[in-house]
Amino acid sequence: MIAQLIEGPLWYFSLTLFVLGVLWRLFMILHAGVKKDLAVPRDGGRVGALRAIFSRFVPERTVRRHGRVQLIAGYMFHLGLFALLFLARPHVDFFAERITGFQWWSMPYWAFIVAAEVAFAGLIMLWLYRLLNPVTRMLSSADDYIGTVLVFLVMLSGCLALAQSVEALRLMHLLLAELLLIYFPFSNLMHAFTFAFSRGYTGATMGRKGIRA
Amino acid sequence: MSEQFEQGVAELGKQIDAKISSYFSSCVHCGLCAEACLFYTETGDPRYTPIYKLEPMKKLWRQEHTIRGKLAKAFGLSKPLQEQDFADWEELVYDSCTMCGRCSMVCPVGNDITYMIAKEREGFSRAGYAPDGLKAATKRALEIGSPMGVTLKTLMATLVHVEKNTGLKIPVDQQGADYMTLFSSMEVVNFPEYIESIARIFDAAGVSWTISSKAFEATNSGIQIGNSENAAEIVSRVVTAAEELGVKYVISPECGHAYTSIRWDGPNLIGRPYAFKVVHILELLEQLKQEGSIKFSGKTDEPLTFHDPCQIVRRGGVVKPQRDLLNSVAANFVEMTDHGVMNWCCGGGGGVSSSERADALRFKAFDRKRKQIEETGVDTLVTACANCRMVLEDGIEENEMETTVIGLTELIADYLVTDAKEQSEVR
Amino acid sequence: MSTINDDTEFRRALKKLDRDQLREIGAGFVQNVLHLNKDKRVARAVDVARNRDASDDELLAAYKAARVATVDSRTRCGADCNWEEQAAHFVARASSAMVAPEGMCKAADPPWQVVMSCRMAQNCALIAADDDSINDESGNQHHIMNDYLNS
Repeated sequence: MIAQLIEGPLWYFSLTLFVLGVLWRLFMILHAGVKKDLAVPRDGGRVGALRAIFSRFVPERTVRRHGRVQLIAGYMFHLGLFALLFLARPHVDFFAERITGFQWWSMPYWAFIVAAEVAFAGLIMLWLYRLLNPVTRMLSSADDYIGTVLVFLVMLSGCLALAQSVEALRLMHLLLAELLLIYFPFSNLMHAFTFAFSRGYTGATMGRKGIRA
Repeated sequence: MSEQFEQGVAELGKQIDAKISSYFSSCVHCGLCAEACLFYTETGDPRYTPIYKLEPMKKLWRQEHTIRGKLAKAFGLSKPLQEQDFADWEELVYDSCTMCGRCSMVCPVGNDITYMIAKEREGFSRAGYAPDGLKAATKRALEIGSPMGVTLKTLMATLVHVEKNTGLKIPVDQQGADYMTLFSSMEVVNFPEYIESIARIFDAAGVSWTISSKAFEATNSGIQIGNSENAAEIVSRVVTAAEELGVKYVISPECGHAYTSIRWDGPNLIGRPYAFKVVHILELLEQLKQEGSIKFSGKTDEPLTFHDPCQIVRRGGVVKPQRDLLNSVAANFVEMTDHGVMNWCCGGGGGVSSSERADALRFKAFDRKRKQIEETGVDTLVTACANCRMVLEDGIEENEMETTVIGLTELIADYLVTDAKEQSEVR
Repeated sequence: MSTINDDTEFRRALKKLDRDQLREIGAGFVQNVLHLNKDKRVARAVDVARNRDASDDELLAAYKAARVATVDSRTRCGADCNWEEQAAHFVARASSAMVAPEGMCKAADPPWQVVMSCRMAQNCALIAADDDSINDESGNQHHIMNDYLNS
């Protein structure tokens, strides 16, 4: 019965809430509006926006040394998670069955293990940095830690499920993923979508001034 | 809670646009902005982390613009902003932020934190939470036309002095002149040699220029305190005067904040584009040099370095002209390690230098600039902003350094070729 | 017999003076506006400038003190300008340029910086007094120069 709930209604509920919630959050941002800039531009805003969306993936030179732990751990976590989420065979099968109707290339098992280890190491390093650095410790809220813990549990349960091939563990993994989907639009995990807007807006403003953001 | 506070909160809410909302949504509390802020790097105090200065605005944003926040507010699970929040944050918002923009350059998710501070100040100032020095300066700017109380009469007295010294006439209210120039009160009061320099340069270049008796002040305290209505009133005086005189260009003087106010903020404050263009004095001087309208003779061998005013480079987009001009008159120009767009702030912009309350923190923040200067190994520091100049000199004296600060426009005026006899000396 | 009565001749005369003479004449210019500044460091700088036997260390000490006096007396950005205090500031600025050891005053023409700062001091004093009289400090300086050259 619980299994049916997790596989069925809760999956649809969490996915719907995730999609509608994300769209609603994005709508709320756009609805707040931006006034047109009436100052004569020195250069193009659109080009500046596009440039900033990509250039900010590389830390600015003067803070690169200070931010090296977060840079390395951040990319380890994000790239590892991206690989797990979209290129791990069980996920590819799941998406094909439930969402897309088609499959794509999935990584071999050894790559899955490497990606998982890298993602875990990155997440733990980031979490430790957040706790130990006085700035991030001061800035961080419950939201930051809940998000971290949820993602960690999803990843952990996924690895256990795969390793053990026990149905209960697979269901636990799915349940935790559903909880994450529900939590997502209410949290600053939204940065996964809104970063393009924030970089774009700033890139456009600076671009019009002739500054590379 | 007082009515004024309520008005401040309402104003703060109005300032939350799509940019601000996306910025708060994207912030992952990585703290990298702290590493770009001299108030944090020189004190080690995490409270000076740029994004932390936005906590009051963030609280309001969460309640008004997020699903969780709205639900929490609806169920009485969140507290609204309190006056104590504003009282506690006033020093962070005004004393530990010069709006230099360095944080905006390094945020991995692209947050323009400086923009956010400017918007937050709108709420704080409306609520009455702003430094007394800035409040008084804004009041004077609105009532007298200058934050430092420079009246037309006192300006004219200074101009007479300049005319006597240069033998040149300073044109006032010249209809149809190509350029109308503005001055910052600091230049009129403390650095009248700037006025002398541009008079000599414009004479040499044959520039058609004028000052307006109705609007000569370049700075905009309304921007610094964060009051768009006041800022719009101040800008509109310049716009009206310029359009009445029918000038093609308005020249913003060396002052950094004056430039961003008139060049980038002004049209948006008054709600329409100008009928003229705005040019920074350094842009104009470089253009005159490129055209051959001004020529220089000789160069100083003195090793010197340059302090880039933040509002001119990073927030203004004027980066190259100052370097071209300096290289025209200086044989030993040594750049600071972090220069140009990623220069370090002097620590006094954004109204910080006008507040006595902020002096101790400003001097501490100056350590960053002190280290930069010492690293260059030179004793002469050139800059192009009257406020930066004052702040730099304050910091230099406080640290008993040997460095001397000079203005860029005055420096290049000293090497100007001014008559046919000197033409032969032109390199 | 010196009869300087315009700035062209005045500048020419200044250029002919040596370092010690420039300090002495500078002291004369600053003395004429010294009543506008009550700071002892500025008065001390004038005394040191007048002393032909002043050592390099004494000059350096006087210069540093005058420089601090200059910064201390300046109106801060955004503050209500007190023109009396600004007058004192320019007197301090003049005194600093007056005793600056070789190469330490970065003005292109340190003696002229003394001249101009004194004139600006008088300008500020007239503004403070709301006096519309013409600032004739330049004329005073021409007289001081004539007296110095003719002595």
